[in-house]
Amino acid sequence: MEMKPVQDDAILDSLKQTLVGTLEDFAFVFAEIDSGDAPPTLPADDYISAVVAFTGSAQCGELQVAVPVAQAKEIAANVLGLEPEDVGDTETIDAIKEWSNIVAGALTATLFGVETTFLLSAPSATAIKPDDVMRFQQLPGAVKLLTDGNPVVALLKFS
Amino acid sequence: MAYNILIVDDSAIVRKVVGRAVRMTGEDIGEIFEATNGREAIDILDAQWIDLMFADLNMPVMNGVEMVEEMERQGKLKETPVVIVSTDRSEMRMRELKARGVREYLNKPFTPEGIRDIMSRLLGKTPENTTTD
Repeated sequence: MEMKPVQDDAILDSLKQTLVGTLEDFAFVFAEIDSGDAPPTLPADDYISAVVAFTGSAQCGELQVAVPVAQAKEIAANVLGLEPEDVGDTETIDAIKEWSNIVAGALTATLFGVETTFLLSAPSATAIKPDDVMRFQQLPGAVKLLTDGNPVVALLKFS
Repeated sequence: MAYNILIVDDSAIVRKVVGRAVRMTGEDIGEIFEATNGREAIDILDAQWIDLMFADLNMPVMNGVEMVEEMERQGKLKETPVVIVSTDRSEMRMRELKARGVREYLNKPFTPEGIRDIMSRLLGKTPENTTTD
C-alpha cells in the first residue's frame, strides 16, 4: 500500500512534541524544534536512519528518524551511562532503532488513543549519506529538531 | 535467596539497561539471563529456574504476545512472573495480557525506579498489580 508523508499541522505538532519528549526521557538529550526559517544545509556527518512501521485498525504507516552518527553515539552513551568513545557501532545503531520504536509507540497512542491497538514492526536501520539527508529534510512533512546544533530529521507517513 | 532474572528483548541496548536497573535495585540477584525473542526465552525457561522475567512485545521469531500464550499453554505463567516492558501503550493490550496472567506492564522509556518498584512488589514485598510509567 502506498505511503504518503503526513502534512497535517496538528499531527506534525504531535510528532515534534513526541520526538522532543521521548529523546529527553530516553536519553537525557534536550532538543529544540527547528523553526524552518533557515534553509537546510548539507550535514557534515553521515546519519543513521531507523524506520518502524505500525499497523492498526485506525491507521497504518511508518516513521523514519535520521540522526547524525556523532549525536547517535551520544544518545547511546547517555542511555548506557558510558562515554561516547566507549560506545560501539552496534549499540549506537541499536539506540536509534529503540528511540524510533519509542516514538512510534508514544505517537500512535497520542494520535489515536490508548484504547486503539497497533502492531509495531521491529525497527530497521541503515546508514545514509549527507546528500541523502539533505534531500530527506526537504521532503514535504519532514520535521527537523536541533540537538546541540545537530539536525535530527523525522518523517511520518500514512497509508 | 538470590533471584534469577530473564530479560527478553531484541535490542541489546535495552537488555543492558534493564540489566543495569535490576542490579541497582539492591535485591539479591543471582544470574541475569538474556534472550532476543520469545522462542529463546521459552528455551531458557525449560533449562533454568527464573524468578522474574522482563519481556518486550515487538520481537522477531516469537513476539511477546506469542511468548505469553506459549507460557500459558505450558503452565509456565503460574511459575514465573512476567513483566512486559514495551513501547506499546494500548490499554486494551495491557488488559488482555494481564487477563492471561502477565503481572505488570512497564512503558518504555522506563526509569530504574520503575524496575525497582516492580521487583519489590513481585518478589514478595508488596503484592500489587499496577501499571508503571
